[in-house]
Amino acid sequence: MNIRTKLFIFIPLLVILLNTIAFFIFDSGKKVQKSYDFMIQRIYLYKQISNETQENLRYLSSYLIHQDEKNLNLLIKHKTNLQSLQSKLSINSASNPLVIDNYKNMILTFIQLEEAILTNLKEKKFADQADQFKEIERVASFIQEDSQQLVDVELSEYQPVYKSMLAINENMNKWGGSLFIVTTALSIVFAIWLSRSIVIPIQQLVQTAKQVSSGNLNTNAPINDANDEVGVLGKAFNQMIENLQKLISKNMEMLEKEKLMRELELKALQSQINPHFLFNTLNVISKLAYIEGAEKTSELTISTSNLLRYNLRKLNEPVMLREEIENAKEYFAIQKARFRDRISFQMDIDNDCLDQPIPALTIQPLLENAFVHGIESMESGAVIELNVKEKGERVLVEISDNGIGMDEKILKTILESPSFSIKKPTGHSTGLGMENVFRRLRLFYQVHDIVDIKSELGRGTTILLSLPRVKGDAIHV
Amino acid sequence: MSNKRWTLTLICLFILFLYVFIQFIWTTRQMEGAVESLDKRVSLNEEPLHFILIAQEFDNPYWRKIEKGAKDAAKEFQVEVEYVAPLRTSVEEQMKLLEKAIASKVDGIIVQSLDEETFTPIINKAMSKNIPIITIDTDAKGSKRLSYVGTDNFAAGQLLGKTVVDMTSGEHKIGVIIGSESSDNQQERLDGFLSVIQQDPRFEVVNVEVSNISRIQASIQAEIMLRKFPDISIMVGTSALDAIGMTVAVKNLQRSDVQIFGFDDVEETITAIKKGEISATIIQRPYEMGYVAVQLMVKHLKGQPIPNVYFTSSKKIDASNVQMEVTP
Repeated sequence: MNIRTKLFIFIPLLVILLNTIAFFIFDSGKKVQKSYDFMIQRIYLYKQISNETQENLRYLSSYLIHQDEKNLNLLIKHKTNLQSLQSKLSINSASNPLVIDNYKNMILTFIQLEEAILTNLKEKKFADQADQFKEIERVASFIQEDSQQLVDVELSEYQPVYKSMLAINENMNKWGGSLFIVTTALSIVFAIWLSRSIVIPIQQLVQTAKQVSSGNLNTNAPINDANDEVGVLGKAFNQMIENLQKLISKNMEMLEKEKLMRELELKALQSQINPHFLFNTLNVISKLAYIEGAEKTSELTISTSNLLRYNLRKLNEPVMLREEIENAKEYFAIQKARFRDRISFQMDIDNDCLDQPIPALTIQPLLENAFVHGIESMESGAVIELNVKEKGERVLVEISDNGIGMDEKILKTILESPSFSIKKPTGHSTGLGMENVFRRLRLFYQVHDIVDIKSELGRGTTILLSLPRVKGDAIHV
Repeated sequence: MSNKRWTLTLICLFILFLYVFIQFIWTTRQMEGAVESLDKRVSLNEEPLHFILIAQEFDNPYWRKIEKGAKDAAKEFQVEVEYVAPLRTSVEEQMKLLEKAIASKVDGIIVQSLDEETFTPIINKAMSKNIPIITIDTDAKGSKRLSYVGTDNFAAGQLLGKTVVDMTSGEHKIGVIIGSESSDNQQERLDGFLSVIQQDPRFEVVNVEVSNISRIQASIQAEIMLRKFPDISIMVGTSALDAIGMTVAVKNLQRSDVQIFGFDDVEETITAIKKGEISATIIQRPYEMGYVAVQLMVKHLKGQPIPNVYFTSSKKIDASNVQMEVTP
């Protein structure tokens, strides 16, 4: 449920609840008032009838004396009053309906007598007047007497009811008071509950934001309810943190690559005392050797020249596998001249794989490693193999020797070396460590499982590069 | 506090709120109920016939028996009988009640006519207004009343005379006290009594006095009589309290030889019979009177003819059957 819906539902709900309670309390007050009214009204009715009877009698007597319109009108008015009061009597009845019945009939008798007197007066029959008046007076006295009696009866009837009403009223006040307190407490807790459900996720988000702004990216905004607005904000925030982390790691990679390149260049620079002078000198030596008939010396000199040129080229551009292989051949030629029959060099190249882009100076350092660490100390029978073949979407480059091998510990350090480290170059090498080669390969192909080394002490080492197939020159460093 | 706890508190409070709210509404309902009990509306449609029974004295046990008979009959015939009476015997009050009943236009009036002269015109007036009147216990013969229900006082007097004859031996002088000279029933009882006694030569009535239906008057009159005629050996009272007054006089004068005969079964009379202070009393049938009066009234209003006079029986009570007759 999102915050908007929450507010839309719960706040009106609370308002309705409070209004309902207010209504009930108001209604109960009305009921109490009605109860009291009801009691008073009945007593008042008897009193009214008693008074109205007296009024009737008064105007009747003054009409009999004066016989004028004014008194007659008043008399008729009061008679109607009495009649309407009498009809009201019928709807409520005290504990004894017979008494009320009598009372009603007495009023009826009174009215009938009154009418009889008036008719007699109209017809000028004065004979019975005195008797009739006497009788009506008597009936009036009965009515008054009964009115008083009925009031007494009603009052005594009300007494227990009134007592219980007082008790109930007190109860009502008690419950009403508790209702107020409970409702107030309910509203407060409800308000806290509602605001907590909104404010706490926001606070958590704020906390996370503070952490991020202070540089700690290894944090996440907790998401309680994925559907509400704060949840959406939290998700977006987390996404942002993730993107930021990716960006930073990419940056770090770039930095590392640059660092490796710089090292490579430095290495190159160290051996580049005066490359043109060296080339020219080597060319002169080669020509001179050829003229003097020392063909082998001439070839060796060309190979050295080529190797040197390859090493001095622009190093941060990828090359094709073909060139790497060619370079490896040159290197072999030189080494062959140096070690003669002590080593043999075997190659098995699948020509389909030669268009694979690869970072420059990848294979030669590995071969050199094999020479230096693997077989340099062997007196005879050393074999170095270089195989290139295709396997699935990968190009496999295998460099193996049958030299002294490595133990597990060294193997592990080489394979799992987390970061680049510069080793001090040992005498005969061009100076690049294996780790440098592996890191560059990984950065170049953006794949981790590129290198595998198998080695056994005394039986040789095999380095297996499994390069992801890349068409043409799709990748630039 | 955790979210869960707040929610729990909220739920608890809500339950508490519901409880208090229900209690409050229930109390309000109670208030309504309290008033409703006052506001019970008796439908006045199809109301039953409404009779008024005007008695002599409100808390008189004799009249209460009449009332009981009347009420039982009312239940049986499904009519309403209202029992009214002055708190103390008073002709004036009774008359006023009668007039009030007429003004109230009741369907029937059952009344004791204590004084024929004063009651007759009012009874006639009621009859002329189509309100039927039945006299009970005491008749108003001269009026146009519908019927009379009560003891045949002459026969009761005769029974009293016979009782005296049966329960005594030898010659006796008799002193009589009656309740009222103006009341027909007292006169009739006396006449009935005399009609039996005068035929027996053993007895002679030497004096007749009036007690005005008052115990003190009865005892005073008895005392005077006994002083005046010391040879009286039998005293007879014809109204309810006479015999009791006589026992007081006899005690005062230490005349244990005097035999007393009375009327009606007032509690003191019954006690005196048990003690032997009163020899016998003649009792009437008040329950039957009340019952029959209502029955006749209903019959009349249904258009059936009813007798002009309905006599209820009377009965002798003495030491032999007093135990069985203890006020039913």
